[in-house]
Amino acid sequence: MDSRAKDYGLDLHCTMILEAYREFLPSFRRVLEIVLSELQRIIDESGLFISGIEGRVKTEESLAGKLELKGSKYRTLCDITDIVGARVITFYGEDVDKISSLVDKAFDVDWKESVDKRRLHALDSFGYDSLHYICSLPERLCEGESLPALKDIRFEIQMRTVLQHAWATISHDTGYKSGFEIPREHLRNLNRLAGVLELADEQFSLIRSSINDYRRKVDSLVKGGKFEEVLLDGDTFRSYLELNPFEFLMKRIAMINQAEIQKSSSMPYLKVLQDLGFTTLADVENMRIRYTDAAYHLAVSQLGGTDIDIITSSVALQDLLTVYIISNGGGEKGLEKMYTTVGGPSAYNAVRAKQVFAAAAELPFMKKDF
Amino acid sequence: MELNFVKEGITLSITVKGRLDTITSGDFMTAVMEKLEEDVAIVSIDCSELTYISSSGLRVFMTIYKKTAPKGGKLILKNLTPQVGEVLNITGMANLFTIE
Repeated sequence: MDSRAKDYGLDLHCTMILEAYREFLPSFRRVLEIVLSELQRIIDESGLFISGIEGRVKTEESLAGKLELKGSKYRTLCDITDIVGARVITFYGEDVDKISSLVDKAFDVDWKESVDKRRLHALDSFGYDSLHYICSLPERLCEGESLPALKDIRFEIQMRTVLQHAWATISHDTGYKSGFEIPREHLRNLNRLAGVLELADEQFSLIRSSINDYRRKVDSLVKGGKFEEVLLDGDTFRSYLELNPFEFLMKRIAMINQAEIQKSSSMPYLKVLQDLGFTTLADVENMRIRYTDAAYHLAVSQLGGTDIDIITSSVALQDLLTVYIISNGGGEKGLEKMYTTVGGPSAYNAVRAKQVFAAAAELPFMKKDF
Repeated sequence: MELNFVKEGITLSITVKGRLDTITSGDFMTAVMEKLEEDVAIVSIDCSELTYISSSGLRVFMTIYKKTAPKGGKLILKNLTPQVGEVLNITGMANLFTIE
């Protein structure tokens, strides 16, 4: 035994396993690096949005504790499969299955050792656990590596939702797995919590599924031009903007001075539209159709006498709303409110509103019979 | 055109005096880009003595905005004169920048 090594008071068999651990520690660390890097790669490529990836090599103290409790269970170091461990934490339950499929393709999975603890619980047992795969590196991930035995090192990958992770972390903190009995009432409370979290995970998945269904339906209605059936909200307005409804006006405005168009989002105007009482996309569309010429006249009056040859794409909707507000009696206050809603509060908003309102006063759309 | 720069933490404060037009905007751009280091997220420009801005000047503002916005930063324009304010409004840029 290494004279500098700590003595844990283990029997000879366990001490030999611990010595083997010390010898292979650099290899364990390298395996962990490869596993984490490969997990990151496959998840990035899949486009799945997850909470995080984490990993660790079991510490010597932790391994010694494990050997002290159940050292006789292990013939050699290779029998201990969780010295290297990685964990993928997802937001949704169904993503755990998607990750497991990716893991299956990326690593060599030992199906005899792998367990789906999510499905292990009997009706009267408790817990809200994760999916555990015991894996090893495939040949392609060991190529060019100088450290020994990388291919033979097995490691554990846990896949769980954030709520499963919360439950596992908290219940582990209570020590329920430590072999000590915990009072029945605490056990019952943990059991209740597991049930609540499982229901919450299901609800999150249902909500996501419902939102996706809604988005698909709205997208179809918007692309089909059925604007009167589509309520105005963030999703629907975004779908509407994808149709480039203000492009014609924007290009006309750009042509006044042959201006370059800088892209800028029109999404900040959603709140202005809602504040003005627009409830469906048809309201927005009707405004666009009715006030496009007036907005163009406003832009001509503003840009025509200048040599400004750069505009932002959102200027079209800004001008449309300017003429809409003025035409509908909103006045300077209405304009100021729009500027505040879009750009935030500023003393300059009132000055700007006064300037724009005064300049627009002589335009044709200000006359009643326009 | 006269420029003055003060850097405090993540904020670069600039005072511009005179005109930002085709002739001066190139120098303005070069000077700002030299000062716009990695850790600068907020650029605050005092425009009280900016007497005129042309499309070239607006392009420099847009460049600064595009450099700071991805870092979660912003371009703040302070004390706008009526002329500069009007130009920002008719181009739609008044809503992109923070105006104080």
